[in-house]
Amino acid sequence: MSQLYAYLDELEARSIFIIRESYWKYSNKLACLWSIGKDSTTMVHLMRKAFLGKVPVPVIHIDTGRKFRQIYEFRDTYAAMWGLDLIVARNEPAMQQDILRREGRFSCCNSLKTEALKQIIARKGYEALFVGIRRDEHAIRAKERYFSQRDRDFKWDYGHQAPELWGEYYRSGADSIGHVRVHPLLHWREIDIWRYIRRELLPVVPLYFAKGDSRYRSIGCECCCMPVRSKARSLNSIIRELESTSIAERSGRAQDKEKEYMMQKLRSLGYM
Amino acid sequence: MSLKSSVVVTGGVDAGKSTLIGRLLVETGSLRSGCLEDIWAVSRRLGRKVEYAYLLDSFEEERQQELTLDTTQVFCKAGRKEQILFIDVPGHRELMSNMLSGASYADAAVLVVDIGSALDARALSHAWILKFLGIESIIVAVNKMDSVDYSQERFDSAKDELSCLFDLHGISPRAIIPIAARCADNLVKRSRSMAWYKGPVLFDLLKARLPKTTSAGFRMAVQDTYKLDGCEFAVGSILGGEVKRKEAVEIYPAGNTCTVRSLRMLDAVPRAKYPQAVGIELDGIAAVRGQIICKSPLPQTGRDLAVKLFCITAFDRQQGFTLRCATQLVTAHCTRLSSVWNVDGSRQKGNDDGLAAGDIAGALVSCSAPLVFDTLPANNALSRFVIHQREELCAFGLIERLQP
Repeated sequence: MSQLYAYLDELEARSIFIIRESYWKYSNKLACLWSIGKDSTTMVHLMRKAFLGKVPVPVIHIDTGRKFRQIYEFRDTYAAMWGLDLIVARNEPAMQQDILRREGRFSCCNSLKTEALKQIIARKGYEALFVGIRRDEHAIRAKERYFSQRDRDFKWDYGHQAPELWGEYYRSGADSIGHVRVHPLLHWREIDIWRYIRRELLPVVPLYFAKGDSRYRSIGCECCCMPVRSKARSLNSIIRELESTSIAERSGRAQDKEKEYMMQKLRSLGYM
Repeated sequence: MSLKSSVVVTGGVDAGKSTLIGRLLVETGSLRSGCLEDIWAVSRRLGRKVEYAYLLDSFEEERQQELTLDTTQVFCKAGRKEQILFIDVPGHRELMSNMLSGASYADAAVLVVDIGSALDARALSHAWILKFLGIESIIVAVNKMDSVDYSQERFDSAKDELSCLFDLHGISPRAIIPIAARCADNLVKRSRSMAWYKGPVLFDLLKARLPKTTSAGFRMAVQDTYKLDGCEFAVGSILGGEVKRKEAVEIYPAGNTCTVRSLRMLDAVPRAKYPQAVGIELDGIAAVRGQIICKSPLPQTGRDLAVKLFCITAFDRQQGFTLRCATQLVTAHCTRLSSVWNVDGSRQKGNDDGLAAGDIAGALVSCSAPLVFDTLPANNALSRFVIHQREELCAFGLIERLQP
């Protein structure tokens, strides 16, 4: 058990180091993306720890209007409890149209999420964003760096990523056009997140726990998330399940499956 | 599930690095359902045999060109509750910074060499880089044994050649193993085609846990100062040792002694230790970014340092540069260069030439302000540094000693 504690301490410290470096560098030009899922909620908790209890960085929820009811409830409860500076970003004109049915998933993700993010960044002038992605989620995300440059059009120039050494040193100058994506959770695995949630007694959206014989392993828009078969009703049983499963975490996420390289294309256009 | 070790798989272009990791994932049952089927489908569509490397090479460009462009990381099962992290890196010289980015996270390495290609300085250069990054545990995998009919003779002569080469440069691999990654020979299970090989198989060696070394004394590099309820906290991650409330600590490089009034994470804590990230409230003094809070045994300080440099990009030694060591940042310049080698091992260059990508040099560096550093244990956060020129990270290095 003590070995597990030391391991979680190490993951935590590496994330907090990156969070503090970013704040030192970008201060009020920095914001955090909070999808209300388990990962970004863990990231918000890491920020509370990094800043000794009080989060000075605004927290943005990209709202597509299609999220689960439980996500909105969770957001409002904990944003108030933790004293977060919550910003809800919506691409209202696009939300009026039924893009999903008319143009398909790729367009829907791109306009309701990526475009909404572009709008809020332009309006607030952010230079850096915390995004809670992890390498073990998806083979494309595994190619990311902690500090990842995006140009004005949000493009990810994955062919020319700057070197990063030991998680301590990275490219120090931003290109002043575009923004920097900071990924403090990049080195965490799904099971690490759950063990950390158990250790730190963090709340999560109840959709992660099984009702009947299924639960959600990854949550987002209600229309594009499918539950997985599971009887895990508690943190302990989720952790036990993950120790033996061979089902991919995002297997219930439609946008990953649609087409080969869809994730690469979404991400190169600025998707989270 | 805990993590046993982080292993970088390195070697020249087409030595079979991604294939080796891909095949290990398959052999150890580490793949998620659907993964292998996806790879079969992609391989079929591109008109190729099953390409295990696609498990790592996820970019469309990588699959079409059959080339790893950027580093990636995957987890591999090692027993019921444990995992090994594999770091795949590109082999191309032009992609060296991607290779370094991946390899710097590793605590062990597998160096893959192709039995078919000449065992030239390329293998040596990769070993050199590993040594420079502080990775002591190196296993050499001699790959594509199937292409030489699993010949013991060929392997023995390659092994002799490699041993000599490494010996000459003070590198001692833990083992040299004959493998055929594509066919899974000697990866997890002993190969029937190489009954003559009596040594350990690759995965058994990788499963051994490696000890971690950190600084003996307490060290914290201050990242920032936060105000909270009228108190000032110096925040940072602890690089070694532990600290308690009411204890005396030193602030380097000035060398002021003061007392820890309180410690804070999310709430107040009585003590904190490596590797935790913490906030320290000091009595009477506010520590600022770049200072090192420490306890005995104390670190060294000085402006003139003897270092070893590794150049990631070409850099102009006549120009000044920025040197960063933990959160310390000073301007510095190079006063002398000695023994400049290119990592391909081909030549010893003149000391007055500019430094090119892949050059390794001994150097004397003079800093604008005293730098706080440790030399033991080797490669801790206070013994390594990076050099920036015009915002680009262009070299990294190790501090060897203070220059009198």
